[in-house]
Amino acid sequence: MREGMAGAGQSLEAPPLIEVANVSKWFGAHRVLSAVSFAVRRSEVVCIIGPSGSGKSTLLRCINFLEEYQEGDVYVRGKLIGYASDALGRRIRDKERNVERLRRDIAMVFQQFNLWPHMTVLDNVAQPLILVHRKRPREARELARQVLEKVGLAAKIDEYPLRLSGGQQQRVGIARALAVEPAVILFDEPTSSLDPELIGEVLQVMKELAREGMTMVIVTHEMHFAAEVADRVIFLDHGVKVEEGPPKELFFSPKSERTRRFLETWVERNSLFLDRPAGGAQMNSVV
Amino acid sequence: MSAELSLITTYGPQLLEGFRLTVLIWLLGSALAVTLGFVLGLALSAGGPALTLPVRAYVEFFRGTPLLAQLFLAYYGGPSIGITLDAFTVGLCGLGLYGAAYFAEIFRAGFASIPAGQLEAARSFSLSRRARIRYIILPQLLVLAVPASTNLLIILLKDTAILSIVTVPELTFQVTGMTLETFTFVEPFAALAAFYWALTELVAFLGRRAELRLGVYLRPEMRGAE
Repeated sequence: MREGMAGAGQSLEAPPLIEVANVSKWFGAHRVLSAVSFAVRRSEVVCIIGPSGSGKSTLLRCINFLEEYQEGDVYVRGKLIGYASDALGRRIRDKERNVERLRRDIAMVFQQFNLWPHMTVLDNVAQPLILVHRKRPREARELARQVLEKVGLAAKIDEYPLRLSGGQQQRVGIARALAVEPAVILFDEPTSSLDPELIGEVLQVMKELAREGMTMVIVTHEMHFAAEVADRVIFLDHGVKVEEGPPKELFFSPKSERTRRFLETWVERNSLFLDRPAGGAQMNSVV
Repeated sequence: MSAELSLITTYGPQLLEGFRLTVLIWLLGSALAVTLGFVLGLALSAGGPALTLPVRAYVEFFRGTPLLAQLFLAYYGGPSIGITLDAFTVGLCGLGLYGAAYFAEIFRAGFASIPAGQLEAARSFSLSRRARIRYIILPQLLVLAVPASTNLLIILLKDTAILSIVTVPELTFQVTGMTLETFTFVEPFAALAAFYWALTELVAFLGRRAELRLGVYLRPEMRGAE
């Protein structure tokens, strides 16, 4: 039915890479996502913002089925992820093998980096290529080296992850995601566990990727970054998609009262810097 | 002086044989304990309830009862159910099965201490369950298990002394026999203690070496000249 609609309606447009349709999820009796829908097309950057506990990360993790959702559908390149139909047409959990196959198109970058500490930086990036994408070890390591160079870590390839700064570790995380040549990269608060002065180097790499046309879905608290890089921003609150739009609209003329209130704190904080002359003394008195 | 010399010439061969047997039964028993314990630990960590329940029962029994009682049961109780084993076999299997229960717990705990995020990352990159165990969990598990394993190997070494009670002719058995014949107690047992201690220190030393060598990735300082 979806294919039919796509064929008739949005004639020329390719089907979205990711389509989230009416996804709901419960943890026990607690509903964490309520019928959330959105789509991500090739080369789009979609940022998901919202207060803590609003379900942003859960929503992101439903896309590659790290989290099971109970209602609705998530399509990856038009294929439903995580579920199949039995002989009677009822929904059943899909085979793990099928989920793994769809996941190969989706890479993920984690808040806590989640690197494998016993492997060198190079192997962290190369192993998925060897173990999953059937590349020969030499070829995989050569590819890994190139990607690590791209994120500015050529000098660290033989180091172990725990000996790197947080910013460097997260860049390894990004390199690991890039190396598998995914159709889309999911970022789960990639800068939230970094020291403020290390956030910049990670955002810089992400901006570069966006410029190159990488498709990205980013859960973030970095409003400046979202405003600058996103094609569309989704505001999530209590598991409900409150608003979605281009950053200009969502940040500067939000339709919803709830969005406005959420953004106020951010706008206020920034007005401290925008409204005042750049005098050190005054800045200090504000802080 | 000559009396002591004659002691050595009289009992030397026996003591040497006891020493050989102690080391042999310890090494073989430990090998059995590690291997079986590893399999049991994996079953406890990654198996379904049909697997974990019997394994759990096994671990509880062998941890919950004294090694001595287990040895008596096997050596003296075995024949009544048609299993007659020689002392060496009872000693070896007893030590191995007993140690395996503890090793199972060491490996289970190591398995559980791999951060969930690492496995989630592996899953997100489509590593199969098999690949996750083989390439993410096992290498770290073996490193994490080193300190506790060293400890257990030392305990098993000293527990070989218990095997003397079911007549395994290992070192303690030989020394006991010697004291009963010569009525000298202090010197032989002091020497016996020193022997176990020396071997124990050697194992501890090797364990520390292994811990440093294998756990190199866990220490955040920069690597030296390598």
